Amino acid sequence: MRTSRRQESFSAFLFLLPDVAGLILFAFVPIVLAVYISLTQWNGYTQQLFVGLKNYTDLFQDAEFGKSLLTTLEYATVFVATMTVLSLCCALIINSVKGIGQEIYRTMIFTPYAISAVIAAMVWTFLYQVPKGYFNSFLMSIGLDKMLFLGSPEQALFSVIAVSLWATLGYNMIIFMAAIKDVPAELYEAAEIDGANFFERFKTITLPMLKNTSLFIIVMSTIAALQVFDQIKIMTDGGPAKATNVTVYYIYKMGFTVGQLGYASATAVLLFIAISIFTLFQFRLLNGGKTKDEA
Amino acid sequence: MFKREIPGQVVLYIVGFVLAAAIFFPILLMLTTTLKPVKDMFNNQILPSLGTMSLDSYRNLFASGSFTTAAVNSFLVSASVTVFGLLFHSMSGFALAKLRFAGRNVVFGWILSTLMVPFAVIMLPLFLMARSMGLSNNLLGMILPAIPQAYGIFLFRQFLLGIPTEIIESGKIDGASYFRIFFSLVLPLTKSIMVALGMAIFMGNWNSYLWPLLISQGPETSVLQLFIAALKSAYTTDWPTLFAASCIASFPPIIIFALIQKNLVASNKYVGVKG
Repeated sequence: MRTSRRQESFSAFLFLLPDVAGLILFAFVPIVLAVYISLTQWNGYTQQLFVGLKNYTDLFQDAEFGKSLLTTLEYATVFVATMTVLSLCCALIINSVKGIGQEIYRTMIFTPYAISAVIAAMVWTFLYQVPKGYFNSFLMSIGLDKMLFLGSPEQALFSVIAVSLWATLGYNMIIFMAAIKDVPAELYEAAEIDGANFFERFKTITLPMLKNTSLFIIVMSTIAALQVFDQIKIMTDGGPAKATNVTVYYIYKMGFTVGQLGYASATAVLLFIAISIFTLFQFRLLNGGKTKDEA
Repeated sequence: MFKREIPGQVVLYIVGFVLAAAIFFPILLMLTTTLKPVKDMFNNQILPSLGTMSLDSYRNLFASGSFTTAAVNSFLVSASVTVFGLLFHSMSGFALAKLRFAGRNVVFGWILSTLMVPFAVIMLPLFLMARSMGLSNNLLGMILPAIPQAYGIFLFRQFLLGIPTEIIESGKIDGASYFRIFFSLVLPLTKSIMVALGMAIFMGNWNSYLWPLLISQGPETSVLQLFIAALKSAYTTDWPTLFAASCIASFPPIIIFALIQKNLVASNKYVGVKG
């Protein structure tokens, strides 16, 4: 009996070994290193100099970092709020289309999610071209002035947000559609008997039943938005006039172009803290409020 | 009742079509632009005119071997990560769900905690580690760090918690080792989750840009996303060729996602999100 127990433990060890070793090497060690590097001054090649919390205190006095933080928050807020409303609206519309139309429309709206962020950014860069791109031709054909889009410090961030919305709308719509289908039909029937109209039914039944799904989408979209990079790198390189210089792009630039590794790591650690708060919240949602699992 | 419903559905069909068509339009335009000559790329017509329609963009793409190299590399990286990821995650999930050992919950909790580490936070130390291990500018450097993923382990564990323990007991009575039990009795049961997770892992790596951007330093280790990004020029971009590469690179994800659309929702529910 005792040997079979030991055999079981040893087998478990072997089963877990590849993944756990991988996670130690490629997740745990790097995060420890990130914290360590953030306490040093280093260009990646010469002698590393321990400077304590200097990078952090410098960061809070750095106007570029402050602006980058605000840009990221603006990006995340606008993206998440618009995404939640738009994907819910699309789900409600497409869900009420019956028959084959629903499947065709759903697939069409979902397709942008399947293509890569790089390609999505390319297609929209093409549409945004000044002066000959499709959007500007459309604007001029209806008698409006052409716009600069990615070339304008005021419009660039919103132009990037539009791409991110376009690329992820279908995914969130599908999650909402599944949740709408899960609302028990008896609730609607009862409400109909009570004489509730479409908007009353939406307000008193659909919306409360979708609370958890909405929270899930808000948290997941926020975590994703705080890490946006691909679209920015392709479309604007953080510009113009640093208008789209979001946190991850700032880390990339500081770490890989400017060569201030300590400074870049300090930014990364702060980003880690911000995202952790949302991830912990996400865990609670996934557990449906339970903190202990069943095993 | 019947009469009243038809106009409602007609309106919904039209509204739905306008919505779906507007969202699909950029994809359609990407496809049709590949058939236009460069001089017509901003001609504001969706379809190429019949007289000038050509496949030159695709010919340009394959003229040098670098596109093929990038495509092959993308496939090698994505396929390797998928195969090893599924194997390792199913093994870990099995141990966490069905084997008893001291500290099981601690190990599981620690694995879950790695979900909190976003890639952007560790990319710099990871790059330095890869460089010192000789993995930079090397496909292995793209493959190895992408394999361990707590989410996949979590999915397999949740799934395997649901299978009856008698299956394992019966294997033990027959004198099979845990490895025999796992490979011949347990693994065949995980087919549905293998397919769904496998496709998700493949697509995630196929579409990934940031890590290859850091680790690849030359055309021989380029992947599709890097190749496409490099086609954009600050001056005049050959959009038909860029989109030809994009269409080819988008083909596998679009097909695969069309197949797993329903599973996507199922796997979400599986993790326990309630509507």
